[in-house]
Amino acid sequence: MSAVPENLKYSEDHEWVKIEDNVAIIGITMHAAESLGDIVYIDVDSLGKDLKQFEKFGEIESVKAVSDLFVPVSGKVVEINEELTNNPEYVNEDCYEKGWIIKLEVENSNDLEKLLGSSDYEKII
Amino acid sequence: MYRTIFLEKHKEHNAKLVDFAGWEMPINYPDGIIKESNFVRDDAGMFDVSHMGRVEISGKNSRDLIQKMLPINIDSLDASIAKYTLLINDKEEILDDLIVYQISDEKFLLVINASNTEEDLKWIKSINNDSIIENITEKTGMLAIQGPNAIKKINSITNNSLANLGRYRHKEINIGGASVFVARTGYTGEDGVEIIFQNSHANAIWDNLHKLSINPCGLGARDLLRIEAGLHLYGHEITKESNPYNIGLGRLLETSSKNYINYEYINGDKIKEGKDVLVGLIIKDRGIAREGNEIYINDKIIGKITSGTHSPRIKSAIAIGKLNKKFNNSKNTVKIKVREKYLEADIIKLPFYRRKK
Repeated sequence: MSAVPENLKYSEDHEWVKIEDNVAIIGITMHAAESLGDIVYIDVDSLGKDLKQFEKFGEIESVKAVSDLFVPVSGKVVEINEELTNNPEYVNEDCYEKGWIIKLEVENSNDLEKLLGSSDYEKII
Repeated sequence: MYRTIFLEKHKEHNAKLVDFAGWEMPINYPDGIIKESNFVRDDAGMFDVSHMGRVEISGKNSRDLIQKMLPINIDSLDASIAKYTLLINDKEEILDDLIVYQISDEKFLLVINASNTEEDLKWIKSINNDSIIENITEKTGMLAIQGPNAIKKINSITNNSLANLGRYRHKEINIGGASVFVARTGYTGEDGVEIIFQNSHANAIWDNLHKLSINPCGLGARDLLRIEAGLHLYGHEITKESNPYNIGLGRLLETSSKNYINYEYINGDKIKEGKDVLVGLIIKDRGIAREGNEIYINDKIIGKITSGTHSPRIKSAIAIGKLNKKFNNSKNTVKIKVREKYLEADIIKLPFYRRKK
């Protein structure tokens, strides 16, 4: 059973988001990381880019498969986890902490209402 | 779905199970494909390959049937030898790649691909000469134990039974009271063996091997390892329509016997006009090229990817590609179209990985 922390919000595309001081920290869920298997590349949009909720922001590729990444909320890209370029395995090892992927400056906190809580996310995995 | 005798073992080890050619098989265990491939390169790992077809051919005419069916030099076989070869039908179609083992003067074993078992059997039965053809796949199990320490580890519990077993040789040994057919063959580029035994011995053999810290590895690691080793996979590098010379397997067409059903085909001119070649590609950009992706030089398509993965040894994505011989030059840099991107790649001669001897 994959871990689904209670303090996060989830998209149906298996991204998680945590809001800290108007910044959304975004990654993929343990369920997604386990389904992909060993992750070897993560390529995401550049700093400063404005993204709409559920818009594609990059690709994540494992030994077996490639998958698109979608932002769970709208916002401007303010930070990218550069560590993942050389250590993509962080996403497999620790997807909710060391394996975060991108940070956005949140435009509209109402976006969160379209996301799932942990118990609802657990039901779809 | 078909199940191998080891399905419960895979579940105990928390394998991720997938449908592979109609069989419920482990793609990987919780360690993941990369770590599992490291077990094999650094130490030893074991793979359940019981889904592969195992067919015994016996009777006083069995040697003649083998000669009629396979392009091997039959005189090079004896009762301890295994040989990699191709099964080609009378329409010049490659039905499979396989290993043939001579067991005795009047008994042979074929190990064939799971996905081709039915069609292979149909063809072999259609050219039968009163030999006994028995599919023993479901009553036996098969494991591949591969890695630099594989032989040493098995020797440690079998009274040094493999000490004198050469590559592509086979014999019977005893593991914990179970009689086991063992061949020094494999599909990973490492030293090791493949073993076959009655289903009733399967669990005890698995447990005995696992006690030696031989970790189970899934089909994902097996695929990664065989790509690094530049080995063909039917359905990818080898297809029904392949000309063996186009895929680097012309050397397998070794018989000079007119009794071979495709004697004329393999000795004709047409087959030698192969225009393609299989090469290794080391991807310099970020991203994995996968089967079907097109290979370009200067905006011109020169070939296609047949298999691709990420190599922890090369530390980049690697692929096997089939391309026009004219462009097979290590000075050429090619581009591979992967979704909407073009990835730059260097051409190398296969394999990517060769074990130290």
